[in-house]
Amino acid sequence: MPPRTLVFAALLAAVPLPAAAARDCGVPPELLVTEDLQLPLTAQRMRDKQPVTIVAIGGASTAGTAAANPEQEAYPRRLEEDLRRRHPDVPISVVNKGVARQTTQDMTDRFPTDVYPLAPTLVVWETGTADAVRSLDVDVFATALEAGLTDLRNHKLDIVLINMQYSRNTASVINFEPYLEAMQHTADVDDVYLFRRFEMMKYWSENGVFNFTDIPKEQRAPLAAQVYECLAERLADAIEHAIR
Amino acid sequence: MADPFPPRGRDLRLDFFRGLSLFFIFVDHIPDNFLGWFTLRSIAFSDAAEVFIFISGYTAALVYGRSLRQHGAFFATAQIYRRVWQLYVAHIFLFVIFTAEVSYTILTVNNPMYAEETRVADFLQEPHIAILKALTLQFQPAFLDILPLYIVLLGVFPVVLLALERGPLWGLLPSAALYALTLRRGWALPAYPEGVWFFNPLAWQFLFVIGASAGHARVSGRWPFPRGPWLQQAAVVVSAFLILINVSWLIHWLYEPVPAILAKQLLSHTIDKTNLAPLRLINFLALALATIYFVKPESAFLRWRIAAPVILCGQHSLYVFCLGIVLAVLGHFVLAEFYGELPMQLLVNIFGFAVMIGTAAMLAWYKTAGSARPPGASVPATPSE
Repeated sequence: MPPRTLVFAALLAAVPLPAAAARDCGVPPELLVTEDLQLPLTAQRMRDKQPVTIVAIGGASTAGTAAANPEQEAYPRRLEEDLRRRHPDVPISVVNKGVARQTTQDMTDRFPTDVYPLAPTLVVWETGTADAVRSLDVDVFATALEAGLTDLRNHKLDIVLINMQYSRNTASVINFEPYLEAMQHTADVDDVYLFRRFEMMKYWSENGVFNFTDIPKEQRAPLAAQVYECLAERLADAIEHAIR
Repeated sequence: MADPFPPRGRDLRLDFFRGLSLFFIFVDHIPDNFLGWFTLRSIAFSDAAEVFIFISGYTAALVYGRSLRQHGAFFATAQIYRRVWQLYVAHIFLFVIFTAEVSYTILTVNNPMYAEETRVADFLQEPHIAILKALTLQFQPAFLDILPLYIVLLGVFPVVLLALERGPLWGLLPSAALYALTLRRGWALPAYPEGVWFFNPLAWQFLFVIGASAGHARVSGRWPFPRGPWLQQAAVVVSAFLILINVSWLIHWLYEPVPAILAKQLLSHTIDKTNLAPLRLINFLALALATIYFVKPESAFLRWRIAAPVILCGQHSLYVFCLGIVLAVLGHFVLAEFYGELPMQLLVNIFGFAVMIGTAAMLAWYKTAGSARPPGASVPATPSE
């Protein structure tokens, strides 16, 4: 990032602007919208002005552990704010069920306690990281994912799947590719919408929107908060597109 | 139909396709490499790993099978174990490079956003165990998984060779049974710190032994598999059909409106590379048969100038293979650390190819200069293992 942009970004960060205007982190529409982007139940409830409960289940990046104030800055909270802003007449709540370091199987095991009792309209499931980091058998990963998706579907709710985070450094020591592929293919075959976080973050990284690598210590937490916010914004866009 | 592999003369097809698989393995080992769209895995369920393991089994049986007949089992085993040792040293060398890369990238990044991802460096917390596990082949970091497979396959190869010497079925039947049981029972080798070997030797040995049986046929003169034009024609049809399916999937992931043919039915049967999913094996065997149907040992393109560097690499596969993995790891590091756009990818690929070809040429030069033959002497009739 050229220094001038840095200064500009620092100025922006210092001025209390509305959250959404902090940074232009749009992505090309083809990164966001696919044929599988359909959330019929959520759309129905929004139209009927019925309460909508969204459960965000996932790992550390769902919990928001990297932000200074995870309670306020994790992506699920941002998503809630964003959706409420767009639909002031619908009671919307997003519940954060992120727990660090869990594999797909660990999360699937949590569904009965952490997801179903809340009777959600939509489940946003962020997974794949722990499986790839621990280089678990790709087939075991795909099977667990498939089983989890089937289980969710049997509970008659809408599903959004989120794949891994991207940074050039981690991609050079963790073999994400087979897991990303397995996730993409499983989602595609099951007609589940996959929110392609990995590709979006890669797009931001390559286009100088964010620099995920050489970050001074004091800017790391604000960076994480901004990334969570941008991801929430894109996810809100996707939901918006699906319910329209 | 005649024996698809004629007994006389050097079969350049082996060298060519093994060389090609070495280039593909190098390209496929660099994540986000645009050239990765143009390797075998884009048009088939199997990829360069199957080609490499099959041809390695084939040439191992050919070379050590002859050695066994000429010098006896003890000498052949000693020769095989010299190879195993070389592979082992290469594996340890790669492990050191990997450790350097992880320590450098992960410990310097240290960004809490990637707290979960940095767990990949957890083994640095207990180096005394990690290094031991690397020495026992149980620690197989990302991208360093095919060498341990090759080491194990060659390690048990003396036994396979003795079985094949008794008769092809003595080698093939136990191997097939082990493969079937592994798939059925889910047998796997545990890895460190957790998980399993990425390439399960209990499954992949079957392909190696199939290759070895075919190679051994050139030593014993007994072709162990069914033959006939119908088989090759069927293989061509199956290959064409599977290529069509794969291309439709590839296009579908890029451009959604194009349907992915049979994806719902077949997808779950293709993911399991760890255990050499049967569909991958069938796809590879069909491709291999189709290839020998279309490409004859006397095919003109094998003598084209552009084929020469590929053949050269295939003839020195051990070194070029290890080198390819090292280059892929380094290339990936460069792309990740400094600049990863298309021009740099191109540069990394070209540089990698050049070093692989250059090394193969140097090894060939050592051989000819070292053996003190007069210039222009004929190449040895046996492919190198």
